[in-house]
Amino acid sequence: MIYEVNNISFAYPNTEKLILNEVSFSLARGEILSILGPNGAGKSTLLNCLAGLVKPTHGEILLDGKDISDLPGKNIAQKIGYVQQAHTPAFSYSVFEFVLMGRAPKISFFGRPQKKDEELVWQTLEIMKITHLANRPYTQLSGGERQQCVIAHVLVQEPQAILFDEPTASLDYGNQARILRLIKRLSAQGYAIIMTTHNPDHAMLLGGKTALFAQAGKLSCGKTSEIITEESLQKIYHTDVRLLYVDALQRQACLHAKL
Amino acid sequence: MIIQSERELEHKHKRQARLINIALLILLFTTALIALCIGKYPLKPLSALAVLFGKANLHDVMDYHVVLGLRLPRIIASIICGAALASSGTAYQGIFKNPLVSSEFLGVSQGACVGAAIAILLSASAAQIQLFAFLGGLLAVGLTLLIPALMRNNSNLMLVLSGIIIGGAMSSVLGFIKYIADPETELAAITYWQMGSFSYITSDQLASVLLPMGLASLCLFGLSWRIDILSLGESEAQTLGTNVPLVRIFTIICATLLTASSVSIAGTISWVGLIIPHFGRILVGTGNTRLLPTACLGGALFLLTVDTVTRTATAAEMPISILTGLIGAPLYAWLLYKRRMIIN
Repeated sequence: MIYEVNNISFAYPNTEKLILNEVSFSLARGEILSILGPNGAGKSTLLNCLAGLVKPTHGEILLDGKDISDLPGKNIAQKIGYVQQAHTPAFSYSVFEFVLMGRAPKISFFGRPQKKDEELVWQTLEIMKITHLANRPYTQLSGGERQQCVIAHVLVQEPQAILFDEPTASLDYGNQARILRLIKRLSAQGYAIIMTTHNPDHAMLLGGKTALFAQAGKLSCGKTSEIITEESLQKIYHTDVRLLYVDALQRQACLHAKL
Repeated sequence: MIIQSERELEHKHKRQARLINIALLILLFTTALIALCIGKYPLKPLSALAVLFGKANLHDVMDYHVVLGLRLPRIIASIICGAALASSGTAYQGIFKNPLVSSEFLGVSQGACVGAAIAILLSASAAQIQLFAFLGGLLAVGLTLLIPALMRNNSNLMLVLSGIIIGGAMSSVLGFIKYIADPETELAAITYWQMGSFSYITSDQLASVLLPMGLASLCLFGLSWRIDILSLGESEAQTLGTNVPLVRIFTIICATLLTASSVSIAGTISWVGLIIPHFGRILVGTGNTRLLPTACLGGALFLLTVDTVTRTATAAEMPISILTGLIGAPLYAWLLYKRRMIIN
């Protein structure tokens, strides 16, 4: 198991409200976990805990069998890549420079990247089919291109697990599908994937496991086909949602009933 | 095909950065030689060089005095102060991921000025003035960082405003120090030095700043790639396994030491730390491993040129900040206009 999460709870300092309430699950290499929940349910907080950015108030997170709160940031970064929600950096680094920065966990405090690091970046850009962007300023890319660059940046970290915070948000329809396809391919290559999303259909397309923020920080986790039901979705989103089997696609799809 | 051409382009950028640095270095040496020769007592380049390498006739006492006693310390001072101000500006801009700051916009220069002025009041030694300037600068940048933290507002604008507040407060403190200073002796010293000038530089002063400046810039060069990582943002840097507070404090200490050293020997010289990094970015790109050396050389060249002009253009020498401001302010306005898309 890459991740074993045992009964973690989280509340912001000096507040009563539990953002996470005794959350548990585990994840092995090659598995995908989609996390669904309404706005403000605690999805990003959970990811931040999993990335070691914030400490749960109770419970433990085992990363490869070791308690994450005992690990130095550098060791966590060597195992986990985190694709946070799109941000615009203040400086216009080239895509090559930006992706190269993914090597940071492997480089010493006063060090800088070497030839072999640069080589890995070129290979990764090639695999991601974005070599043509290498010398473009990162700030001037389209949303879809930028997301691909961020993923390349995380891949050169050579992690075992990758966390995605709403990777399809603010992408157009085609780019959403491209990013999902990429995520599926990454899991087939052995990366453990944890992703938050607002679209239940994306979780269903990816299969694997799903975790649902049911109520007040409680998380129900299991096989996607068992967790995502019309009842569970209607309960968390308070709207009429239907799961329909589409013959032409030979799969279940999640749709709004009406407005 | 694409791989090859993109790789070649990336290599080309690297080579270009190196060529630009070499060109700046040659330009710097040429300017320094010109600066050695011109002034109220003009010299031929060959005789200046002869003095420099100890090959001149010993009876040319005046040549020796002008070159080694007056002009050389001043040239070295303007070079190292220019390099120090530009690299501290680059570092501040990087770690605060804010292209609108530099030591004078964070209150560091004013704080260092207050520290140094207090030391002058206490008739302290050169090393003590430097220490006080460093502590004053550190205190000022600490206060400047405190305001956005208290207001829980991390925006670029907030940091700039906070710097203006602290800088203003420090200027008032400096005003008070001048008010209580002895008008016969201390006041003139503080005022003249505060306006920024290289005219009274001595070799002793130079010797006292060389070590701290050298160490601080070496550390910044070593950290330059980490500064890139920090400029991506705090949580991003953290997920890359970077110890954010450590890198930040280390960089602030080095950059403040550079600014304070420069302030302690030459007073406050504005604009260099703000505009030179931007020109460096236009020349060699954004990455700090390439940018820092270029900014250093660019700052040195800029300040040496400006100081040489202030020294020779008019009969009575004017304070250097007048000229850096006259050049810096419009250039900064032009840069803001050119880069407005990116700043938004």
